[in-house]
Amino acid sequence: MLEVRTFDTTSLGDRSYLVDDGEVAVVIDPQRDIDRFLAAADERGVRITHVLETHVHNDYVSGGLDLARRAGATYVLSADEQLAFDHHGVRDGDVVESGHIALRVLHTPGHTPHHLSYELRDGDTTVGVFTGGSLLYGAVGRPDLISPAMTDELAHAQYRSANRIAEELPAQTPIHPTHGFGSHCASVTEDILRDGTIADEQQRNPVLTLSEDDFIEELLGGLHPWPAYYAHMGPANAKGPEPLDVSAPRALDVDELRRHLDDGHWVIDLRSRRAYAKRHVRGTVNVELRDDLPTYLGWVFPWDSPLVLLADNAEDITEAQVMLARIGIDHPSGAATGTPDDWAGDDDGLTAFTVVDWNDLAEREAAGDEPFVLDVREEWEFDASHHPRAVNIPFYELPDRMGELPDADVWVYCGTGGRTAVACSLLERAGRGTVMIDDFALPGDTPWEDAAEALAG
Amino acid sequence: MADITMTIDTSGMACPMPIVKTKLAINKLESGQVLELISTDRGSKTDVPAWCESTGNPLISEEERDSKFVYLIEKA
Repeated sequence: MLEVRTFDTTSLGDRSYLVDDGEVAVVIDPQRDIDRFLAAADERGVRITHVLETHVHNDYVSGGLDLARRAGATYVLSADEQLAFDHHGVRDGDVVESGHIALRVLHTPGHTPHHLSYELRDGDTTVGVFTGGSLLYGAVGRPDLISPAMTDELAHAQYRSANRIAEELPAQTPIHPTHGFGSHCASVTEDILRDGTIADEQQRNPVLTLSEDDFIEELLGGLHPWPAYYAHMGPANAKGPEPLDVSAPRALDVDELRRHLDDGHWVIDLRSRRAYAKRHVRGTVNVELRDDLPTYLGWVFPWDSPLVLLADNAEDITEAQVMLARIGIDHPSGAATGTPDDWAGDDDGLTAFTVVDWNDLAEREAAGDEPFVLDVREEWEFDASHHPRAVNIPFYELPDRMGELPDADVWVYCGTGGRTAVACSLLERAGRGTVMIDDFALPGDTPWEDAAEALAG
Repeated sequence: MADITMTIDTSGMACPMPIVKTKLAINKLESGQVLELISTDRGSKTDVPAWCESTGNPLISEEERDSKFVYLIEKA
């Protein structure tokens, strides 16, 4: 009897898997923090013999090479990938065997050209399929991450790959995808789906219910922008990532921190946006320590800048280091813990945001004042509904588009407040006046109208 | 302990989807019914109470359970 254990990485919306037969184990698509896979194998009393990748990942730095070396396991990838390290290359039809575990290789291009899926067999019985970024729950892995020139070809390939999986394997086969739990690698899903069989997908997944042409049109029309850091992941994974190192960064004193700020380095304050808004060191950037951290920071961070982390305590620094190392942002130049007063040394370096809500804006507008309103959400959210005078610059485009803003104070809003705090701190860092609208603007909602109506009574 | 009418798990979803899903779930409930909202994201500790306050749907309880954050929200 084979056991399949799932490992969620919610900050990236990805899953990894460990399969064992009671004696030996294989790991599929491990994240870079590999201790959890080693611990799980220890707990089950099994030896990891193989580490397999479904594809060279574009949304995270793989822990596969490190795990294979640490466990003395065989590292399995597509034979067609160009990689800078030794590995066991496999092709369609090959079978990887370990104890009672057998994995049949299916070439399923679409998310990437050399993408593989692995049919899991226990003897002659199919008991699952690891689909990576191919057939997901209610969606597929997006085909536009490799290059614009290849997107159309990969989209068609994805349709054929997903349908091949569904046709070749028994309907009751459980699907174990890597992407699709919030990952930007997935095409959009409306529902929260955490499990499914091929039969389930035949009911609900457009790739299996629509014609090829209709599916391609829906898929390519529904893709949102992907985080800028993705561009760095493929090369890092092909080169062979270093083992994870989250030893404590150098503890900075007030003078050292000041020098980092003066030199224009990125100093990230990880505290909650509410605390940051009340009091923070001028010149820092607020990216809250939460699941969105790697996506938000990875999207705006200039890859060659030194990075400094600020947080309430050392545990938060370590947690952020793990989350950031998963996308290859390694080795911060330094860190400091405590409060903004500890970091600034004196009051001169400290500042706060003016925080308002939709009612405050409505009052200003009713009084005949029309402050400049900036919507830093993604275009699809802006298109769903936006403040009537708002200009849309997604937060990640802000560093390059500051020139489009007037000299006046910029009133900033997003969906729930996190991206607003990133944007306000970037604006303040660039020497601009900001007002933080710490309120909600969910797609389709019009809270500015509700506020204006309430005011009009 | 309040009777839970509906449970949703928004773990792994990128902003603003956890709050969008919360809103859609609350919209399906009758006044007085209770939504259980589960998230593994510590950011929910800021967002969920703020959304409840903003919309007037009372947050009955919030607790941390097995590294998950669990909220009970009553529909106003």
